[in-house]
Amino acid sequence: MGSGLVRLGLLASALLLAGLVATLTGCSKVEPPAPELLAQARGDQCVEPTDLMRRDHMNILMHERDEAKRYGRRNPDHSFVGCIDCHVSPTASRDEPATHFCLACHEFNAVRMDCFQCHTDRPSDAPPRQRADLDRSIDQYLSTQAAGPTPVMEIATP
Amino acid sequence: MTLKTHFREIEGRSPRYLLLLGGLLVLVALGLFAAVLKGTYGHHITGMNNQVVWGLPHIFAILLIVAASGALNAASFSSVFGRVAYKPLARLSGVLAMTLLIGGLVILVLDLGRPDRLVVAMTHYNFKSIFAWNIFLYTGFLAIVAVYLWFMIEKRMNRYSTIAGYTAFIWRLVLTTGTGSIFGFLVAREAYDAAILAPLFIAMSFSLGMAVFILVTMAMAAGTERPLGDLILRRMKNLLGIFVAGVLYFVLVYHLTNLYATRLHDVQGFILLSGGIYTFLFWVVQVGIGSIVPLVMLFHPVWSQSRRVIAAASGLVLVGGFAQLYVIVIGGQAYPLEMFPGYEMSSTFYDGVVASYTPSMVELMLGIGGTAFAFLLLAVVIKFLPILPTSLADAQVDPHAARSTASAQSAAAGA
Amino acid sequence: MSEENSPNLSRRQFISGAAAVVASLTVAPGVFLLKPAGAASNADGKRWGLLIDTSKCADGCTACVTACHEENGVHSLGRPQTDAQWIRKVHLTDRATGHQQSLPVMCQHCEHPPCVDVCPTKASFVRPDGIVLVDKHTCIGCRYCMMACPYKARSFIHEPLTDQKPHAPRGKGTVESCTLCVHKVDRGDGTTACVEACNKDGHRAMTFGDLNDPDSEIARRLKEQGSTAIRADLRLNPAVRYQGI
Repeated sequence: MGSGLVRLGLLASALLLAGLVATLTGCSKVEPPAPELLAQARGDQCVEPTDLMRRDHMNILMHERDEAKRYGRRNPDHSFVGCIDCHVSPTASRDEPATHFCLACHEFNAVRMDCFQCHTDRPSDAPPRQRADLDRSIDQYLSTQAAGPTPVMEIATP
Repeated sequence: MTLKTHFREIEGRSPRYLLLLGGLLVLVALGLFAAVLKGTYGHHITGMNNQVVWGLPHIFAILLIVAASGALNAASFSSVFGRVAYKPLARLSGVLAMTLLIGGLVILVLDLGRPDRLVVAMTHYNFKSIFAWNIFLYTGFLAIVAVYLWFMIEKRMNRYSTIAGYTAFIWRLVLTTGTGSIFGFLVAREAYDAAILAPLFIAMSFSLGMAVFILVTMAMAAGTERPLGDLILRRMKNLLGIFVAGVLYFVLVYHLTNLYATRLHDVQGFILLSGGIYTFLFWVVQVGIGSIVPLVMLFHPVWSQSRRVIAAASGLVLVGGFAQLYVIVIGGQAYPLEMFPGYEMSSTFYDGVVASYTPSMVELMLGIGGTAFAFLLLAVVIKFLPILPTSLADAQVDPHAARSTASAQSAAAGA
Repeated sequence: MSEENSPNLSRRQFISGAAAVVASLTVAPGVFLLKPAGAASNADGKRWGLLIDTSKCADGCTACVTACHEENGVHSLGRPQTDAQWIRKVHLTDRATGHQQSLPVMCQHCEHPPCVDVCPTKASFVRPDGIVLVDKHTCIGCRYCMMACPYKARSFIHEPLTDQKPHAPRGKGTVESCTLCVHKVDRGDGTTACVEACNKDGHRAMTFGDLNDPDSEIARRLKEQGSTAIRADLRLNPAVRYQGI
């Protein structure tokens, strides 16, 4: 039994090692973000000192996130929307990280974050860029369909 | 007394074994591919929608999880109920229970909207959620069965294996209660909201687990060319028959209680009479092909002697179980919520109409991939650990009974 | 994404208030204090709710639906089965008498919400002011809440989204529903997009207010005129009440 376990362990570690090597060889060299692509911050000064923000912006966002979300205690100075509105260029896009204040740095430092899967990646005043055929509300869409969804099957009513 | 049972790893070099591994790996890869597709494009590429939120992957997952707890039957019979005939199968039973559960959980996790947040599920618990209980029940089951296996395999620990067996047996009952309660505690939906779903799931775990276990045992014996006697097979098929009848009983009681309540007549009418695919699956596949036909096959005095019939009956029980879960999971969601009793209801959000659901290839690939992963793990483990008995011949399983059958046969031959 | 708290920054140092002047003081590199100046949440002691008079709700009018989806950036992606709907107009016909009426249905913001009970990660939660929300930071997309909701109030996001509204984050793989325009409530607007639209059209079928304030219009009308809840038999005590059904 002992030797079986050892062999099973060896197999598992070999697989892990192979995966690691494959991942590392897949990595390419990352260029630092070019500052000229990033828009200038629009306010005079950030809400907190720069060195503090560099070090702790994630903690500020994380702590106040729960306060704001769960208890409605919002702090406009530390709001996520505020960061985006001030720092991100209206023409930036999450798909081109080099143009995006947050993503450029995160990409360079290889720190993954998923904020922009839900939060919009652009300031409030950015023009919409949605595809025209999709830029309509559900009732508008359904009104173009004949009388909304058709019943798949009527329910038997006694 | 029983002869000493020997367990040995399989050699694992035969072309057949390698072919099996290769085939399973391909299926697992397809499942992973489906998961990647889903992660990239979102769930709209599946058949699931805002009306039917749980689909084919959940049926596969629940089937595997329920069968996992039932696959532990053989080990429980030997450790808890003292049936020595099952002792040679106890190790296989434990390993199969673990791998089936892992396969089911992999499907569930990969079907999440955010599988990348698995760590959130492990760090944020809502102790009122049955899902959160189940996270503990599943991980606990894996841990307990692992210890149980260790106690069975390691000679010095053998004497504790009975205690571990008892713990595992009780745990698997609680685990299946938890799985059934995922639906049983849903007060909002007419088709669920019934305490009897918990014992129904336990009964299903016994029958589905036994069916899988019979098939796996027969496949292992055939694949490794180790002898498999009729005696153990006959015992298992008799038990399978009893379990199938047990499931039918709970199904009967569930529908009878619901038919008594006027407010549930519509939903019962939907499942039993007018539900189209769900009615067909219920009567023809679940009750007919999946329960009555196997019962006849398993207890017919002549047919039940044939191994092929036993294997076919086990397969049919699994098909019936799949149909049953389809009716419970999809049928229960397809029937619209009755928000305004006594009113016809319509809206742009599919209120008041039976929701449509067409399973997609992506879901099927994910489900099959998870199932293949369970069997891949099993195939790997039996190569490296002494799980399979060298023989399941009658004399090995129960020499006493074997001798008396042999003499009865020779007497019959002589007469 | 790291979920760990920084060792430099304890939670207690860090509670800060809404709309308050926040004084910050850097004690040492990475260690600093934030002092909220007299912060009070808009949520304290309140319970926000809606009263919907179905007799005033016009058949065929979808002003509330359009306004809600406009306000929160809920767009159709051309697939009605998987498109999200935060609010919809429901048409009812009494089976016994043939009486017809229509009414909007959205998240009912229950006091005892089944979605919160079943959520494994506490992503579904009730705010102190009674608004039921999904915390998309912890939602794993299991959809158990959608199974549990008696009102079919929730939608799962089935595909990647872009161009969300800044105040209404939404993203693939999580569940969402009516937020009772929580961003407007927190801003102190005292109304929601659907109520505004209904009033603007002159129907005045919907009223927003604080159920806990006996002097509010909604509380007075509820007391004087009575109301019903959808699926009142479940005793979830929803904050959305109806008259006329």
